[in-house]
Amino acid sequence: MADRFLNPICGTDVGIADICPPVGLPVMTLAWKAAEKGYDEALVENDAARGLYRSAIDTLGGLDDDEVRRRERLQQVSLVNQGITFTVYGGEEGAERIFPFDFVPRIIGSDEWASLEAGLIQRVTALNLFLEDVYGDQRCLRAGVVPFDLALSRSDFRRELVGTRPRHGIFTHIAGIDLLRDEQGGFLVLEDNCRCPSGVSYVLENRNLLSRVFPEIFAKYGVRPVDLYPQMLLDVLKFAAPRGRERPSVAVLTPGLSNSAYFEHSFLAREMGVPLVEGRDLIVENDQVSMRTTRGRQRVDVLYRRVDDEFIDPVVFNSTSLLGVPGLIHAWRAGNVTIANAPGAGVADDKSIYPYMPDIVKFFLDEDPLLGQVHTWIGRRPDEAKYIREHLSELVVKLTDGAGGYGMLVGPSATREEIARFAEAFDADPGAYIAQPLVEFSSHPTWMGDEFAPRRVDMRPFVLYGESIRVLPGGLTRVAMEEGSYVVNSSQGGGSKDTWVLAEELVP
Amino acid sequence: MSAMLSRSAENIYWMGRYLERAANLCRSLFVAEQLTVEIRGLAPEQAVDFWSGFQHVFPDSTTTEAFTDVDEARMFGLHSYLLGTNNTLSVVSSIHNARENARVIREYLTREVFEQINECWLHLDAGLRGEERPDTLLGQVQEAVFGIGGATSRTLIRDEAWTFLDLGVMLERVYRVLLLLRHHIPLLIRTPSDVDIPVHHAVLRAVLRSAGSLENYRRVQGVELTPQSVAGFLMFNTQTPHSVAFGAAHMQTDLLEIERDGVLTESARLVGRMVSQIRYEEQELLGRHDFAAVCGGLATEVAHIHESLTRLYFTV
Repeated sequence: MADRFLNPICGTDVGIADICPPVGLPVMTLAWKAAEKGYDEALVENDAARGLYRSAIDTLGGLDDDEVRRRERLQQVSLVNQGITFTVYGGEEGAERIFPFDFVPRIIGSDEWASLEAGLIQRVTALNLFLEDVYGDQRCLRAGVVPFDLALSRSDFRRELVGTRPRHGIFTHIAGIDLLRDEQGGFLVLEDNCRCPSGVSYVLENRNLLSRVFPEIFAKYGVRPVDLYPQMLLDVLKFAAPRGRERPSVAVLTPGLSNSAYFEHSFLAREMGVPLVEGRDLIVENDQVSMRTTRGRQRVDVLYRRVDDEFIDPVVFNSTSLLGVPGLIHAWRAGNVTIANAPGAGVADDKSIYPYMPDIVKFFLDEDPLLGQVHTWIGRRPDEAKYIREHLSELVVKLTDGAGGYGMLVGPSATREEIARFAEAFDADPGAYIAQPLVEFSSHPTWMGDEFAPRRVDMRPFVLYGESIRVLPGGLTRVAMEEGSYVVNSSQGGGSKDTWVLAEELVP
Repeated sequence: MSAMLSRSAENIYWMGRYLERAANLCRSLFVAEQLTVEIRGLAPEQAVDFWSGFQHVFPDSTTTEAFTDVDEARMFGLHSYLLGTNNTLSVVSSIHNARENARVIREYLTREVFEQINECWLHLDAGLRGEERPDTLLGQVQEAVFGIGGATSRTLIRDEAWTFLDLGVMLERVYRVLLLLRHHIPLLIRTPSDVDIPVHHAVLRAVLRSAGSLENYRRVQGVELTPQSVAGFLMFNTQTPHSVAFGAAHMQTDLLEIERDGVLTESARLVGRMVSQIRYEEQELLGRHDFAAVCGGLATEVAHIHESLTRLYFTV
C-alpha cells in the first residue's frame, strides 16, 4: 500500500536498507588470537570464544575487513563530530583529544556481576563508614585498625572538617572502584576513587556509539541499559539535599573548560537538566549559596562538585584558588548546601589507606571482604621501604597521592635510567610511595586497525550512594592500546570499550 | 531549568553573534567572488571597491589594506576573511569562537546543534591545514553554517537560552546590515549619471545578496533597482529577515520575553526607541543627504543596546 505521507513529487521511498546495505554472506576473514600471558576475557587457549562471547565474535568475525574498517571510520567520524573529547594537560596546553573507542564489547555475565555488585556495595559502605569515623569518633584509629598518624597525615585528610557530618552521614555519594582481573580470572580492587571519579560519560557515549555503528552485535544479547545513570545520579543528589528543601536546586560545579574532564561535566549537567556552574558563578552570603542568573541570584542546594578539595574554597583551603567559592565550606558546615562528594572524602582513597581496606571492612561491617585486592607494600614502613627499594625493577611503584598514571614506575618495563631516576625520588621520601607486584591482568580482543589482538583492560564500575547503594550495570573498561602495555590511562594513550552486563545468565 | 546563569546567557548570546557573523561573511565572500567574475572585465575598480568594503563592514584593526588590483584584493579578502586567524572577525575566528562558546554551554544545546557546529569547525580546521582550496572550503562552510541554523531552529527548545541566542543573532545581523548600507549606498548614490547600468545593477544586486535579500526584494519591489529602493528595503521592510526593521522588532520581542518582573529595562527602552524611529521616521531617514550618518547613528544605537545587555544580564 502506498504511504499516504509520501511526498508525491519526491516519489521514491528510501529505506534504512538503502542507507546501510545489508552485509553479504559471512566471510570468516578476520582471525582472533587469545592472550599469551594472563587471562583472556573472551577467548580460551585455542583461540575459541568463551561461551558469553560466541555470538559477538561470530557476528564480528562474519564481517570482512573492509566492512569493519568502514564501520570503524563511521565510528571515528561520529566521535570527532560529537566532540567526545578529554583535555590533555602539559605539552599542547588545553589540547582536545578524542578518547579512542574500541568496538569489541566486554561482556560480563549476570551471575558474576551479581557477586561483583555485592562486593562493590560492601566496599563503598565500608569506605563511607571509615570517612564518617575519621571525621567523627575516630574509633577505628583508636582501635589501631588504621594507624592514627597515617590517617591524619594524609594530604587529603582535612583537619578543618573534623566534627562535621554530612546529611545522612554520606561522604562519598559517587565512587569509582578500579578493578582488574588476575591470572585466574578473579576480580581484584586496584584502587578506590572517592573524590571526583570520572569516566561515566564515556560509558554512556560508548553504548550509544556501539549501538549505532554495530547494532547487529546486540541481537542475541539482553544487555542491561546504562542510560539510567543521570536519573540515578540526580536522585542521589536530591536525596542528599539539606533538610527541609522539598524541591532542591542542583548544579554541577566544574573548574572550567580547560579541565581534562570538562566534556563529562557538561554531559552530566545536560543529561540531568541542571546548570553547569563555575566558581565565579556562585556567591555565598549569610551561609547561603546562590548562583548569578539573568534574573538575579538563585539559591543552590546541592553542588555535584568536580573541583578538588584543595581549590573549592580559598577561605579554608588553597587561598590562591580562583576556581572555588569563598565561604562555601562554611555554608556546607552550616548545613545550607550539600557538596557531593563531601569535602575530605579523598582520605579514604589515598593509596596508603588502601592496604588497610580488608581490615576496615571487617571492623565496620564484621564481614570478610567480598572483593580481593592487590598485595601492597607501604613505603612508610622501614622494612617494606627497604624491600621496595631493592625490588624496584620488579614492582609497580606509585605515589600515594598520584593519579592518572603520573608519578608511577612500572619496574618490569622500565629502563635502567628510568629506574635510577625513580630511585632518587623514592629515596628522598619513601613514605610517599606504595608498591605492588606487577599483576598480569587480563586482556581483551581489541581491533587494531587490521586485526583483532589482545590488549590489557581494567574496569571502573560506578557506585552511587543515596537512599540505597546502587551500582551502574557496566562501567568504564579502559584498554591499553599498545601491545604489551599495562598502562590504560586515557592521559597515557589508553582507550575504552563498551561494557555489557547481561540481564540473564544466557549463553547465546 | 529556570533562570539561566548569567555567564551561560552571555556565552549563548555570543555564540549567536559569532554564528551570524560567520554566516554573513560566508555569504558576502561568495557574493564578492561572483561579482568579481561578472564585472572584472567591465569595471575592475568597482570589483576592487566591493572587496574593500569588507574592511568597512567587518572592520578589524589587522585588515587595513588598500588595493588597486582585483586579484590582489580578492586574494587578500578570501584569505583574511575566510581563514585569517589574525583577523578576529574572519569566518575561521568566528566559528572557532562560536564553538568555544558552544563547548562552555553544551548543556543548553542539543546534540544536533553541537555536532553541526563541530562539523563546520572541522571543515575550517582542514582548510587551515591546507587540505582544501579556499573556494571549495567556502562552499562547504556556507553549507555547514546553514546546517547549524537548521539544527538550531528545528531542535532547540524556545526557552530563555533561545531568546539570548536569538538576541545575539539579530543584534549582529542588524549591526552588519547597517554597516553594509553605510558603506555601499552612499557610493552607489554618488555614482555619476553616465554610469554603466549593468555594472551598477550588478553591484546593487550584490549588496542585496550580501544581506541575503535579493529574491525577497524582487518579490516586493519587482525589477526596479535603485540605491534608494535597496536601502529602503533593507532598512524598513518588516518581513524580510535581514532588514534592520525585522531585526529590531525581533530584538524587541526577545527582550519582552526576558523582561524582569514586567519592568521596562534599559535594553528594552533602547530597542523600543530604535523600532519607533524606523517605523515612524522612514521618509525622514531616507530623505536625508547624509545617509551614511543615519546608518552610523543607528549602528551606534545597536552598540549601546549590546552594552546595556551586558550590564543588565551578563554581569549580575
